[in-house]
Amino acid sequence: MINIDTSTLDVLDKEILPMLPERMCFYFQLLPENLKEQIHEIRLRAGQILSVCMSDGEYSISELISNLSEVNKVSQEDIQEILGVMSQNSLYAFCEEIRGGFITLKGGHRVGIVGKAVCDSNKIQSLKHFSGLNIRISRQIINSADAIIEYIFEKEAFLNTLIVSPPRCGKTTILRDLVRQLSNGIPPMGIRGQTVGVIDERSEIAACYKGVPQNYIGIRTDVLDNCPKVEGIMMLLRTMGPKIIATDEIGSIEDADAIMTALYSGVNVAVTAHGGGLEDILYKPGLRKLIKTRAFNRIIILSGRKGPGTIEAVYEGSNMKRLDIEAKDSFDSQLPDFSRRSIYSRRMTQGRVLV
Amino acid sequence: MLKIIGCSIVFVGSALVGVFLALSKYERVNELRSFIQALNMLETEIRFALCTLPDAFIKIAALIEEKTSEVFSSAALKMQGTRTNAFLAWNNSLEERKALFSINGEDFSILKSLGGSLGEADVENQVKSIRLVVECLKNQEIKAEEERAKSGKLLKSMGVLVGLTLVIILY
Repeated sequence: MINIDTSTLDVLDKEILPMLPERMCFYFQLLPENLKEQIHEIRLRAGQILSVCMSDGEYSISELISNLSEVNKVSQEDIQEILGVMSQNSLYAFCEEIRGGFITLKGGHRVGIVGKAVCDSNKIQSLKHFSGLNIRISRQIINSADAIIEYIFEKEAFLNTLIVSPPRCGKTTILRDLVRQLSNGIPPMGIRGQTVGVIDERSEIAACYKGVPQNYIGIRTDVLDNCPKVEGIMMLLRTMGPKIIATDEIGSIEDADAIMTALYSGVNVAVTAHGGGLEDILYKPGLRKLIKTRAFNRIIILSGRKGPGTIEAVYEGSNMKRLDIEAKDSFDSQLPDFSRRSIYSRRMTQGRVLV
Repeated sequence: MLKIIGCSIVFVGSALVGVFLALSKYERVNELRSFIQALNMLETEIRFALCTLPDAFIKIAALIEEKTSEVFSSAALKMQGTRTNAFLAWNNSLEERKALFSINGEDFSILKSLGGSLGEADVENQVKSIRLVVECLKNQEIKAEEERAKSGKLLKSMGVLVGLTLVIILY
């Protein structure tokens, strides 16, 4: 089952609410539809009232439904029960995911889990006494990458692209759609589909459920689900012969080395990174290295200013010129305001970071 | 003439009761073995394939003897798409089919004890609890086997003898 352009309402009713106890579903029945449409996340915390996240913040359910006489608090048993239902009574089958702090539901919804961590020599072995859940409603937005497509091709050849945005500003959604378009081809632009390899470390891009992608990610796409990026890139390079490798949230030196290996093997990359802007990503050692070596042809900065997926800036990777506005603006004049980020600014002005 | 027919009905009936009682002892051993086999499969599915319980149950149900397989398939159905937890699904499936089985109350409570530990948070614990149940079932199997050897024959001959006695008394 692949969810393409389904409304939040449908997704909520068919894929999320059946997992919740009936009294919680009842709250959602009372919510007006226009509010339900806006729900991004459902948050359950032991001992607290259920709350939902919308684009403008988190609201408890009692704030949203005024005439509710009494709102029961979520208990730890509720959370245990919900996790039981979500894992089909088989939490053991998800122990690897739980160690990573989340499980993926059918339909690609990611459920973040907190509780007491069981550690062994500073490594998390598993979680127990679960105390909170964050159900992120996943919705694939087809054609969400259209806005960036014009920047990332040069004569039908795909350019190595880095997409940067703060959390929940649409970078994974755009990457997912980019993967789909690259894999299927873009006939209006005369671009043929290419073999795309996706390393989906957090099951967010393809949202695999039992290994099968739940999102529509194209006909020429191979997905390594739940796989560490570095090993995943090597595996794909060795075995699947991708033309383009896509992966989410890179940052470490190891990631950078793996991506360099891919680039030297003649493979293009489409990757994303967390960050508010260029100065943020330059602070990450791996990304700094990649940008310094001019690994990326295009760096796209997104924000949530006019809704998720707002393009703030597009840089040409080799000379750091902005492409989305008049070419007169060079990277230097476009350096973001450093005054509010004193640590970064000091490092940057010492010339250690500047590209 | 009528007397002879009546007597033979009594005799045959009594002998058959004996045979059926003996058979049920034999059946109990078979059922226990079938559950042990199924639970061993479950352990493999959980340890190596990390199957979810409903998936594992369906796989197992396809491979084992019919009566036992029904318990697994019905528990899988109950768990899929509903909020029924593993404990309830397993126990209810067992309860519903209790009458069809020859295993005794003790065997049943061992099987039921599995329900409480299904769906544990980590593979090791899950496997351990299944093994514990398998061990208990194996003990029951040994006991059942002894009982079958001891009383199986006894029940058969008892049936015949009781039949004969009745015939002699009534004739």
